[in-house]
Amino acid sequence: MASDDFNRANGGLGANWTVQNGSLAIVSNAVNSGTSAVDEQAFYNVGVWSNDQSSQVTQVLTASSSFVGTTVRASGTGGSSQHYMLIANDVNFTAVYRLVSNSYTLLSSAYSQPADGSVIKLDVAVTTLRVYDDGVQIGSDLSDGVIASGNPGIYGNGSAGTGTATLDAWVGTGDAGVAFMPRPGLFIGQAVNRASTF
Amino acid sequence: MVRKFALAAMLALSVLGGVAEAQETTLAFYLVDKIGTGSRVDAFRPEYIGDIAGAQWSAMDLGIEPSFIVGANLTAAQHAFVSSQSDVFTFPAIDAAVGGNPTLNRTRNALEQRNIPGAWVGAATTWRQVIGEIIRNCLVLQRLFGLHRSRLFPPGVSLDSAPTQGVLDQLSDVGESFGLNVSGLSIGLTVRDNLQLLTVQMGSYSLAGEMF
Repeated sequence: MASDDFNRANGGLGANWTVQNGSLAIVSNAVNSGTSAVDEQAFYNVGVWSNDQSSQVTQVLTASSSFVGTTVRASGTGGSSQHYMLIANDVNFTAVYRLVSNSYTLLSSAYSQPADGSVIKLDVAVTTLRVYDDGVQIGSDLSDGVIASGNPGIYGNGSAGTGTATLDAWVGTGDAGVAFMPRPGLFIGQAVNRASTF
Repeated sequence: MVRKFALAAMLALSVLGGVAEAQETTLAFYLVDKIGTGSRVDAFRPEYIGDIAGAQWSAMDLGIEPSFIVGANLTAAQHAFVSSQSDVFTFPAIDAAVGGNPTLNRTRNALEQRNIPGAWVGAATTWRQVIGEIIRNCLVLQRLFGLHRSRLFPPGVSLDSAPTQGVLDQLSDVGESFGLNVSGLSIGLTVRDNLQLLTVQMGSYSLAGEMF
């Protein structure tokens, strides 16, 4: 497991984070959307992560049209960025996207209202994705097979203006609580049998 | 593009009489086209269903191919709207059998037109089995895209084409990434038969809360 409370000086996220797109930045001991109406992502680059992982943050939004979220299996930057991405706002929308080859694909949508201060989480195990709001699953399990590996990360989009999407208290987990233990040769689907959900 | 998306969503809302949050919904499954340009606000998404504000749904695309299998909780009006579209295949109760013609032929054709093997479907096959096979094909083609950014069905290639060695190697990579036995894959078989050699080994998967 890894975590970041972002309690440090205003500015960039720091060396432990790789910015994929945009300019997420620390403001007043939290992460703020740095650029208005831009999808901004960064992933935690320390350690070796299992393919089965989760990423959670505490959501704080000041405008209903802005979003924050988390990512899993993130890698690459700019046009090479890829990940699964949970986005939420505090009005009526949670959704899971896949970003690959500069293209977003919407995989699920739910009419849901995580309140400000909610802990939202995206979890991936083999080919199954799950979304949680304060520990309660939103919607049903998703299946997707495109992205096999990567790191957990964060997302923000201040659609309503810079600083309107804030997240804090990030926690990333690896495989079954055994984060940062390299497992040579383990790849997605290897441990699957016909009875499992993968 | 944003305006186009918003307009489509507003139109859908207008047609459907508002969001679904306060109305009773029923889970159903649909095979639909993929729309969108891939930007975040105009993401690739299931046609019709992806633009219904407030609807809860989950979907899988057929890799880079232009189809989605969708499980959606829709109101009766929304379901009627989606099902009335000529390019949508709406699945009946999933544990019922497909039955005979004309439904059987229509089902086979609907799958084959989207490059999903359909000839195997029989009168006694359940819709759950049909959807399960679609999902397994989705996963194979998704992983093919994820590993190689390639398309299994470029123009001129169909389920009954013979794969090139390059395509076969990529399918082998997909199979191995899922822990499957790929020894039977062959350029002497059709794309259809090679796909089925992989999907027959795959397990059960979840879509919209149902196992397939």
